[in-house]
Amino acid sequence: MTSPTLATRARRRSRLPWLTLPATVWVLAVFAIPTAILLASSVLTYDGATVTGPFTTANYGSLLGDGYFRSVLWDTVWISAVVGLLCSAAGLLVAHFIVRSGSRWRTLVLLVVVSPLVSSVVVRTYGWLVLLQGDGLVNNMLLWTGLTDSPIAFIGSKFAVIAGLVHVLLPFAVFTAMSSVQSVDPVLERASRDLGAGPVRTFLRITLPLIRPGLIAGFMLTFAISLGAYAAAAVLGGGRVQTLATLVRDRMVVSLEWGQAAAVAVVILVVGAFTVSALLLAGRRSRKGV
Amino acid sequence: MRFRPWILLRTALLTLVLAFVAVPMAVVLWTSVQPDTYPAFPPSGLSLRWWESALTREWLLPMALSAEIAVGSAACALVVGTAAAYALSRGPVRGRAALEGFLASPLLLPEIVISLSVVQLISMLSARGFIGPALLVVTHALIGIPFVLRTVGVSLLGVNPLWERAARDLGASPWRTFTTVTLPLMRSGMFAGALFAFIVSFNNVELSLFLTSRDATTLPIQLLQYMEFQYSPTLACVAVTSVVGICVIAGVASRFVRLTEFIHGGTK
Repeated sequence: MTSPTLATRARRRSRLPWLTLPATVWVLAVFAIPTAILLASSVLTYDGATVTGPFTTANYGSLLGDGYFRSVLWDTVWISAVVGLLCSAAGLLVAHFIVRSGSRWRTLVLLVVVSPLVSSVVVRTYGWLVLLQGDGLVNNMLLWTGLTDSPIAFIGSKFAVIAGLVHVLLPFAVFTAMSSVQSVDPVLERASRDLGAGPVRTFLRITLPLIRPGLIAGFMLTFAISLGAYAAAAVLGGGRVQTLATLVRDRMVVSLEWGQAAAVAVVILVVGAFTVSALLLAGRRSRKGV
Repeated sequence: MRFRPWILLRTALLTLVLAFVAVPMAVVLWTSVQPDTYPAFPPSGLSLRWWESALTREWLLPMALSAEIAVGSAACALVVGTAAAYALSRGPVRGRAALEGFLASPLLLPEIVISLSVVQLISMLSARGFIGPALLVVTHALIGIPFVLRTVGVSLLGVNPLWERAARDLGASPWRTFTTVTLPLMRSGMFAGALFAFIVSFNNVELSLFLTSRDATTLPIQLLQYMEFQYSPTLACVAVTSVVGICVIAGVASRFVRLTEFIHGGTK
């Protein structure tokens, strides 16, 4: 009785994979092929905005030989690392509160943390611009309370860029941390408490080691996004803080050296991929050691 | 109750983090309704003077263009992504994980790199004439597809294939089964996916960075260009308008779907 249905189901099944074709073609045409070509052409000779010539390592050579580029690279890496660490720590704090505390403020806290997601990165950056201007609210407040005599130049400092980036990336860190705290069986924590460990000791000895992979994942995510983030560095950096992303834009739009822009983009990818794989490797090794 | 310093510490840190998140947002709102160029502390009064220059063609046109691009790319992502999600959840399992990973891979690379590679390819093909709204729709949809894939995939988890089989056994055609059984059940996932795709496109900066032209500047890009060179409270009004727009759309949408269901990927 079921055999005709099975037959039609089998026929239908065989046609189904075609439905993935449009999405596959889309991702190939707009993403995979263009980025592959970018990688390949970063080792070709450019004349301004056009690829003209044969294989060359000049794009990378002139970058890596440039002390300015090396300082931008180093700035970007440590700014991203600080952002990643701050996001992971604050994300864990918020996530642990939301998942475990049982407080009636949980929903409110989640709502506040998620709410910036409805606005664009630009809007949030603008908020920081208003706050941190020379005549901005923070300086106003500092002067008014007499904590400082002259306005502090926040805009153009790495502090401002880091604040802006953490603000943008915190929701992602909270989501990542929430799912890893949720995956810890509360029974383990209760057992530790029943055996006499205090809440702090339980957190440090039981919860923290169990959620470490999640924390590392959160760090990797926020670190990698920071490496290529444009808006915060461009606006809050006030033209004085240069990161790899603003450098790409600079080479593309201002100095029209597209070959260098491609090479910087590849550097962003390589630094991101290197860090992610190093952390994954370290994570795997430490788990084996346990 | 015992005095517990760690609870105190946690509350203090948590308050600090929440203030850090909320204050810049509140400041934007406040800037838009006060009279000073640089909002004063203590506050000096209320005024709507900045709104006059915000609600002009200069800002309303990019806002409309951003909305059009967002609708277009969300629609593309919805159609293409739903088809793929349906096939992936019902089709043969072989190669499924790899294909899912491939379709989500655009989320792994920095958007600025994607933007750069698209513009370089376009100019290699001597097709710089294509730079404009249509190209933005195509590129934004790239980021929308993974969202739709995920939300529709999550709602298809809730559709038991037996229900579809029951409809078929009772004599419904495949098309009728799809429209009367499957489609209504995955509708909430499609809705949520389209909404996420819309927001991601409407607010997008880095993907659009190299793909806008003088006659096709999206709202976030225009805001950014202004902010890099000058400071004006007018931008606060523009920002508030765009956020209110998104909130209205999300509010209407949440009457139809429980959006939180999709944030954790349906781990109920």
